[in-house]
Amino acid sequence: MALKDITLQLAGESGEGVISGGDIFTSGAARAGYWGLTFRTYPAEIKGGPCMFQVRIGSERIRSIGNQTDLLICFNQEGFDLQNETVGPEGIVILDAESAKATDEFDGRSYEVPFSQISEEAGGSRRGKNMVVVGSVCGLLDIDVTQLEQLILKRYAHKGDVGEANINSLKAGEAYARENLPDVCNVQKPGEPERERILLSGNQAIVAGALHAGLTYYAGYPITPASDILESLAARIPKFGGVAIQTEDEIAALASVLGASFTGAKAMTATSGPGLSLMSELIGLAGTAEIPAVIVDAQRAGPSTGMPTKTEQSDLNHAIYGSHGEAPRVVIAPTTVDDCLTCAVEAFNAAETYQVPVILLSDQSLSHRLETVDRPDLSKLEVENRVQPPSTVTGPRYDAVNGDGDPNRYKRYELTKDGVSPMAIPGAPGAYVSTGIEHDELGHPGYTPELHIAMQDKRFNKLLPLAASSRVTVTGPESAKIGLLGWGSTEGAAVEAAEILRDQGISAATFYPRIISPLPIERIKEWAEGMETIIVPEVNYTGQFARIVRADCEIKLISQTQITGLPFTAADIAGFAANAVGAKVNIVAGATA
Amino acid sequence: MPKDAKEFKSDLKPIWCPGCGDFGVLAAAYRAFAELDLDPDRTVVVSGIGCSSRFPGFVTTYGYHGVHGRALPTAMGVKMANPELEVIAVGGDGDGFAIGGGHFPHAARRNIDITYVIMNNETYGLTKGQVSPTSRHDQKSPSSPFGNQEEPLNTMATAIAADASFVARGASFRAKELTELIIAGMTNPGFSFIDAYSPCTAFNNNTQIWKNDVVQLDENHDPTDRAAAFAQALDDPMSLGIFYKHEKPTMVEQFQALKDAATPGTVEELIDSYSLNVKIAS
Repeated sequence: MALKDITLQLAGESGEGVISGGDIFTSGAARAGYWGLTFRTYPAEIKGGPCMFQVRIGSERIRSIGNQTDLLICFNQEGFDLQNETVGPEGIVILDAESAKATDEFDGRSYEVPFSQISEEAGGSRRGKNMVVVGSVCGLLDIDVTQLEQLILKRYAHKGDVGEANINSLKAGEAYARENLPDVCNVQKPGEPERERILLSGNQAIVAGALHAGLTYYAGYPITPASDILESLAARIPKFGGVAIQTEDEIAALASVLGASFTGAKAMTATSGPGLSLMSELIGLAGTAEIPAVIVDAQRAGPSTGMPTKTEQSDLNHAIYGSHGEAPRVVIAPTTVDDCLTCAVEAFNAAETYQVPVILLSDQSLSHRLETVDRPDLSKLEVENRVQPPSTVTGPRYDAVNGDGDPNRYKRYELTKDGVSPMAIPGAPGAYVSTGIEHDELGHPGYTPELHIAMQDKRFNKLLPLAASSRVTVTGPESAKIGLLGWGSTEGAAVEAAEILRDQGISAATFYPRIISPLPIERIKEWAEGMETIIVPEVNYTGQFARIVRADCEIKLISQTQITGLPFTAADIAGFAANAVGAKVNIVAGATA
Repeated sequence: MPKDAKEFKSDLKPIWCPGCGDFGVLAAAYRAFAELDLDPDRTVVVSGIGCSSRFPGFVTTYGYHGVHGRALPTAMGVKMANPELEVIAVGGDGDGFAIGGGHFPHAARRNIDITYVIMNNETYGLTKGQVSPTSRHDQKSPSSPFGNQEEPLNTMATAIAADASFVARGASFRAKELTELIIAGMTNPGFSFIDAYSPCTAFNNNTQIWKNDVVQLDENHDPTDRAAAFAQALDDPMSLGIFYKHEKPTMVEQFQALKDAATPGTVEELIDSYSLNVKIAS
């Protein structure tokens, strides 16, 4: 019987081309019409240490990393030792004949393939081993490798003859598998795509979304896993008339982003947890001075340096509360790669419309995953801009001492009904001082109780419409035994978990708001009313979102946490949920690394 | 036609103590802005935190009163996002050389097209008189009750070492010369640094001493000679004037060249440009 989808793992040593081989295979599978979703784990060091690439492909959209490995390719013995427990009962293992052997305890199917030798013979070097692996997997799955040739030539164009050699290795690998391992693996063939699809990473999607929204100023400091946003923009933003600057630290990055936004530019920075910590003070300034800005936090496992290349959702509290005093901001959590693009546009729209810093809370598993998605329809993503005062406003001239009495005197922080005050742009009339000190409507410093209350009211109340309008994705029935409520990159696994539960007779639903601060309290409460048991799965230690929802929505819920550095599998969530309601479901254990 | 300096005076009254040097720097800035015929709506004064960082409130230009120590990166964002604007960063010695000290060499080596005026009173005035990075050795203060254990930072040598394209020192009590330095700095393309002695009458009142101690740089000093400028800075008796000048490509010019060289792109093309991307036809 053909499998609906298949989860493939490549396991080896960092520096052996495990990740690049995996990327190229994923692209080949996508070209053959498969949907795909990848996950990678690698050491923080540049060379050495175990490295694993996982991709799940299938004939329908793939939402999570896969519950078990169906096909494990081991580049070396360590790869087998670390990953063989993830192989499902029907799974198979293929080992490099020269450097790895299945142990006696392993009772699944295993084959040895002389990857290194084939590479040497076909490509003239053992370095093409990863290409032999890619070719072999394509052969196993009946994927035509010729469509990968251009991609390989392009990718290795700067390395002389390596491209040609790699293509030879690729073809030799394919031929070997077709000849020696026929019918080992059988996956359902994909149908003709109904729409154009693309393969994109979360970080690439954020770049695309930001540029669609009108980004012209980017500043950032290198940090895993956000660096490729800086790199991508450094190469491409000049085409959009903008600049990308690598600053001396994250403080300078956000400070300059706020300076740029003050002039009317759409500005962004991207970082990870440690950088967000450094930016905290400036988030408070942006909230108080009401300066639009987008801050991408590609979360990684903390605390402190933590596990820089592993995933975690542990910056939520910091994103929502970080910065002294009580500083207004918006937090948006994308759930998939295409959602990263949409959320990036929404982040700019919220920043501009409400004149507020917006934190886009992604994570390593989303930043670096490749996911097949329908090509986004950019024409449907509307772009909003900040409101500006009329050109008749006047500035703070000394000879207009009666400033307050001058009907045209520009009030940067005017107390309007909706809390949003028109923002003048340097170059146009309406000079004012943008300031983090408490101020009156003109922007002049002021510390009276009435003023502080009025201004905090303004800055927080203006954001309330966002909670009401937050885009939410819901799956499953309105009343269910189990409700899965979450945020960010866990959505795919949760939606699949709910499907698993429903398939086995347990009604289950999911609820994922995009804007998680301000929290859409009423809408969560409304949805929760239909649920018997609510579970909040999140990849952190203390159940941060669960605590916030419990406090703000006053509902009972169960927190499910995991800090393995890996994303949840659907099985992880379905198993936990079934257990929580005393039911049993037939699922296999999730991946480990 | 130069404007009247009064046109740059805002309706907000300075909060500084009587006799504070910052009044002199503010007056010099009014005159320099008038002399340069700046358009207040196209000029931005950026500051950090401290007594002197209240400066933007007292001018009729756009202003940005941000967080402590970050005036330089903020000013970079302003200038790089809209190079048409005239951008001046101001602040104190603590703001610029203690908490914000890490940004200074980068502003200089990038050659951001801004002018940075530090009002140097060798103390923390707003927090009532603790020592600052420019306080002298042995200076007694609430935070150095036995005398300052640390040597002051040599601001001129620091700026020359970082190859700032214009390095000068002025004093609040030498209004005419300071005005000229601000004009020279703002006329210079690239990063211009002016360190202005600006005595704090409340917590480190050296007004009379400094007035006596300052000297003009020797007429024969050649500011285009970096070694000579450095030698002057290393063995310097509180000299006023232009220490160093080095014209070099500005940050604005260099990034503008990148924009000019690029063919305009679309987001659709960008999506297609990612190397692993595939079009799965429909």
